[in-house]
Amino acid sequence: MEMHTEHIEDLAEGYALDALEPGERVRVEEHIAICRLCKQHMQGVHDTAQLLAFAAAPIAPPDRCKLRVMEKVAREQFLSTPTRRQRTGRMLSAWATFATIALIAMGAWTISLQREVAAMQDQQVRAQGEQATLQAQIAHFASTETVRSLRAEGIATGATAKTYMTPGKNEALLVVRNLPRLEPGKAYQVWVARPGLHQPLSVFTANQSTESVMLRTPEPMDTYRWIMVTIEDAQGAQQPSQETVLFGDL
Amino acid sequence: MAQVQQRPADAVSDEQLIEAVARGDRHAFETLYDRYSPAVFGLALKTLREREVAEEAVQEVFWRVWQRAKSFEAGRKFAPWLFGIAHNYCIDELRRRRARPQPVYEDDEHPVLSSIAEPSDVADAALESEQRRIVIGALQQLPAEQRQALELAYFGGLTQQEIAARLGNPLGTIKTRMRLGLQKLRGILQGQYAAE
Ligand SMILES: [Zn+2]
Repeated sequence: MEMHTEHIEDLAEGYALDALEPGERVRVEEHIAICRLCKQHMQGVHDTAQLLAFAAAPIAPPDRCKLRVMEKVAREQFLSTPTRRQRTGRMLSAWATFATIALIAMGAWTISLQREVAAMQDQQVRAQGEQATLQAQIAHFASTETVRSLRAEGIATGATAKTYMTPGKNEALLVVRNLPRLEPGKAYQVWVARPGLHQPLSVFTANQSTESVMLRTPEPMDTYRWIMVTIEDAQGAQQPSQETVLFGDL
Repeated sequence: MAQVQQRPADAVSDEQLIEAVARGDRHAFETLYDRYSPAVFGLALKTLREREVAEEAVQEVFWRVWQRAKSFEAGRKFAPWLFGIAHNYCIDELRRRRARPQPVYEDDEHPVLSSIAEPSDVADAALESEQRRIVIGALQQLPAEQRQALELAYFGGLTQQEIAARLGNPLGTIKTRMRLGLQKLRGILQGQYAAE
């Protein structure tokens, strides 16, 4: 207990309700830092006062609030936990950088699908494993709700890439431009990931200036947090190499 | 693959959950979000009065819960701790916004007092909780002027001095109403919870 400051019971209610003037609040905080008696009293008053929150009508917030919070939490946990660093250490730290950059870049993309179609109309586009035009694929994805850009890194600097997806669906379309050609025996591979999981997806080569890659995922696209493209051996891999060339948030 | 394990959520207390959150358990965090986000959103809407701003508040409040879970002291109750974080955020935001030229919280057509004691105004009926019923019931037992003082402070973000000026009462009177109001509330709630 402290001799030269008065106990502050008379300020407890005002403090608990955040209804004090700034000077009074400082007095309380200085005092409870040194007086266990008042701190205890204050906690009791605070806990009663805060139950007033129940007087507000409870209303479910929209789902996007939860998605954003859970994503932020997952990201923070992923970036701060040393799990699996043994195996993919450099990869993870690279991801940390990419994820940060991608976070900053998010929201800057407003180009519509229509504009995308117009820009690509004359280009011959080859789909993964099947002959289909980009237009047809775009038509298929015309109702997509979400477009995500990927950041290009390393040898892919200068390339652009976007993912078209609809939350809840197990498919997406990745459209990449200006990826450099790879040496024989090498290919690009797409991955979706969340903390603790790298899901290998399509393998493709970049023979055209614009490539579109159909992605089919075991679980809905919005259950993953990130999408990335790495350079792998032509037959593809089960764990990503450290050569990430594109990375983005989902 | 994924490590999702569904637990029987309702079997676990809030306090056990927040302790799990402190150890980095995201599923425990999600359960707490599911339990309390409607109350936090309701509080944010009532104080901030704008949907978009209230959505921001929910996200920021739960983010702080995640970050501060380690500082949760064993032996305390989760709900008042959470609401302390939520209320603090909302009142700060309210005062920040009020410092700009914007319509203030109170208006004559919708006085704070009358808008608060109605349990069912826009609440999602499925979200009505036993805790809420008890608190509303306890509030209704308070003398009107005590309830008014508490509500102007808690939901209106007014300081004791502002309330005194507003109501034309001496500051000491307002402080006394708040003290008596909270004391009585505490007494009623202790009796209620003890009876559970
Ligand atoms: Zn003291």
